[in-house]
Amino acid sequence: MIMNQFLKIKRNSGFLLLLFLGITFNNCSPSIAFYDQYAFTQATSLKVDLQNLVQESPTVSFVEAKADIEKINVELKKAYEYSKGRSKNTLSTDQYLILLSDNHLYKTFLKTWNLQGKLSPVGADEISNKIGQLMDQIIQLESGKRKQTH
Amino acid sequence: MAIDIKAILKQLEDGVVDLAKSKFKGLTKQATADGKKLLSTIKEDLARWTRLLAEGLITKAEFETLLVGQKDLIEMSALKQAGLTLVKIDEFKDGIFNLITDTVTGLI
Repeated sequence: MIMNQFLKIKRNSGFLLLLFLGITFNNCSPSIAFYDQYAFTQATSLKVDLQNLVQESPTVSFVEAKADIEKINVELKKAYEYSKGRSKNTLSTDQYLILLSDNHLYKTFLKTWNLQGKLSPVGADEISNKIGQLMDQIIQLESGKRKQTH
Repeated sequence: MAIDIKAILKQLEDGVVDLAKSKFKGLTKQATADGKKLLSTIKEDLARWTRLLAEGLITKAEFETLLVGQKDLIEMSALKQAGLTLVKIDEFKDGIFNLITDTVTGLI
């Protein structure tokens, strides 16, 4: 009787092992969000808008550019909120937070523009390149995420 | 049919080692290459901006703005690398799960 039960358990051990491992690994949720096409499009579009805004700064005064600045600020906030709303997406959200926070490049650029009225053409070129490099970090992280298979 | 648990575990162990080698070797290389590229960009930028400031082509405020940008780039690059490492970990977990499934079902 005991021997039969032992043999039965031994016969089913493979199935039990598979079941155990299946449960264990299925419960492991992803460590980071999957790739999101909308987030990628938002980031690439923002890169172009931000660089265009910086390129305006040697010819258009800060006061005159207020509407353009406000438009981009809204777009940035939307991208941040979208990023924040996605599960397991803290790292991308932190990247947007750097763009939105005082004492970081974008806000410091706006302060400098406001202070000087206009930027020098060379300064604007350099800042535009740097903002492009920052946006590339967001874009590369998004594009490096795994594509979800259905 | 009796299941040879020892054989399964040995096969899994070898598979996990191979998977780790293939998934993380590239990542270390990539992170090192990115780090070197970033450092070289920072050095070149600093030298150029100092020259532009000395020549009066950029203002002191613009120079300081660019320095802030350099700091941001380091932070954002670190966040990107951390994220890409998590992607590799997820791929590794998936790889282990597939390895276990294939190994065990192959032996039953």
